[in-house]
Amino acid sequence: MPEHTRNKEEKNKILKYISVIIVLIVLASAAFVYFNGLNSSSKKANTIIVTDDIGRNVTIKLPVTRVVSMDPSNTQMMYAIGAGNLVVADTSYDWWPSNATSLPKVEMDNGTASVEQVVSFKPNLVLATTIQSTAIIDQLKNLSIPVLVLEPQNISDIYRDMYILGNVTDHQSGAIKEINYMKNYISNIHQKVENYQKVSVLYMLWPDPIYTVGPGSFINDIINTANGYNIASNLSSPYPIIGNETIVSDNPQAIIVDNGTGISNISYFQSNPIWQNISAVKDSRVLFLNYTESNEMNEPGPLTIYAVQIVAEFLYPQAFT
Amino acid sequence: MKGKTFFISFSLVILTIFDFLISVAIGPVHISLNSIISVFYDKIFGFNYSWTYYVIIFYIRMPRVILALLVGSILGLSGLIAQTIFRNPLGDPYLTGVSSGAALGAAIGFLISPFLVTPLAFSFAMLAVGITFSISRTDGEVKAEILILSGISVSFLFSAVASYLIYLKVYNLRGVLFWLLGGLYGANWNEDFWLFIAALIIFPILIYFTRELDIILLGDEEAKSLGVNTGRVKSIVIILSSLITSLAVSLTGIIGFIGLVSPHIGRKIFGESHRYLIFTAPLIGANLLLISDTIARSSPQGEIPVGIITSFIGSPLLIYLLYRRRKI
Repeated sequence: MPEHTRNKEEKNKILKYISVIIVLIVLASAAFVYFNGLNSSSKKANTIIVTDDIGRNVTIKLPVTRVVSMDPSNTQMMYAIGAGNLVVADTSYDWWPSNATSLPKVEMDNGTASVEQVVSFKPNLVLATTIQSTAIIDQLKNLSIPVLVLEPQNISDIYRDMYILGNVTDHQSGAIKEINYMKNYISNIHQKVENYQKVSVLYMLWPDPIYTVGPGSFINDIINTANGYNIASNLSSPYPIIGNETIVSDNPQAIIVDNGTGISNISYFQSNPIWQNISAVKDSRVLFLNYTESNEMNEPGPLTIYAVQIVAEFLYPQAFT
Repeated sequence: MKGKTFFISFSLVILTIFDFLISVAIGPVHISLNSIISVFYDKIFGFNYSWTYYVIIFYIRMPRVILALLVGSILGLSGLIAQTIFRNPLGDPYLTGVSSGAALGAAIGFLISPFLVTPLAFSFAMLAVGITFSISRTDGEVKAEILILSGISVSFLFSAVASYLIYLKVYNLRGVLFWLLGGLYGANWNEDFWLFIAALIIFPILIYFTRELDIILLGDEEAKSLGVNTGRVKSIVIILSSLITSLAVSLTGIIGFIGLVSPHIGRKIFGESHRYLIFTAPLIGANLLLISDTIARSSPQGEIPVGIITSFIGSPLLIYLLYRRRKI
């Protein structure tokens, strides 16, 4: 019995110690956060705060002079608004404009970049998409290198992101000029095709299983802008798998085949009983995108206007004669 | 007891036929029972039939349903054999390196061309199995313990290379992930035909060794005293089941759990004897996969990898059987 009470007393003692330590830790961290906060707010003299595409408020010190771009779409937007000379490094996927291909490359085979390497380019701004893991974005942030996540999901997002880049890099007029050029280009195309009856179309990203573009995806917006009807627009995710059955029963009038599928000939469809009698195959209305065209389709940016044109001319050739 | 076992086996066959008919009638595109019957009727009597329904039923659903039955039974039977040969309740048909070999082949396929995925998956699965066997053959005999260890080592080696490729090189991550979780979306009559021929050749050989499998369960010493050459039987049986599993996996991706759970469900119902298990384990596997795949392809949000569904259905079934047995 006495031993039992002693145990209890000891337990209480330990509990007390632990609670004191916890209180100390909480106080210390509160102080740390408080002073840290003071520090950063005092430096706000020549900074700009922008909200990026995933809703983060990013504080960027001005002027921005060295930019590392971790996605071709971001590189292209930088060049399009006339701020290309600020880009000091990009990726091996970059192909447009030709200046971008000769820049030093951030090593990242499939997404994740090396933080060390990014830091070695001494950037004061890093542009990324959600392909980069948040851990890397946080690491760069801790090294006080701001990261803007720009990933347009539709055509108006491109305008907004170009506008943001214009503000951040002090190329406002270049951005506005490019935005207006794109808007004009697209509305010209739209006017030519908008009065035709909508053609139903299947966009094929991958053949087996068939991945396509659904609502909320960038390519879906391109198809809509070109007055097409995407047969997957009622599915529930941006990049859904579409079943053979659904394709057969929806019977698309046209098919667009991405370069990534490895399919480049209509005989692939004609030799398959599932595809044979689909309108698009019977009428040979199948478009096989080449490498460049697929890039234009998949990389939101200044080249998107050509993607819209490709789709519009394919769906309504009579409007472009 | 004997009558009861026969009755349950018989109802399993009936259940399979029932599942088959149900699965043909269910899909993402709603086709009424009436239309299905009239498509068959019009086709047989040469009337004009609805092309859409005809293609969906004959070229999309039927090949897929049959592929599910074939692959399910292959995984069920191979799982049974793995558990018996390794005398380990955790045995599954992928233990000899089949799945990680196939994964590596598929990853390379995804890098080069979508149309190389299946042939490369099969070649690399067989390569992995071959390496596993050449490591574990000592003095012309295959020892189960060494086989299991070399299988695991080879699996890890192949998975490491596959993960490297998938993580760093393959652009179509969702495609690879979907393949790794398994799916029967690519089904066509051609695949069904060749898999059926393979099963037609290999199943009877495996069934021929029923008695030997029972004896192997007793242990190597006992088996030798009963005059069974365990080394030879084990080699033949495991090589054949790995071969047909590789074929199934290369067509459908890595469908987990069926091979592990079907023999256990069979054992809980029919007992340890292979006389019934050799037929019921594949039947249970076929039904499990068929039901899972019907759910996977009928989802309104687009297709779900079937591996997710098999675990979702198989686990509770096994847990229920384990629980019931404990109570008795």
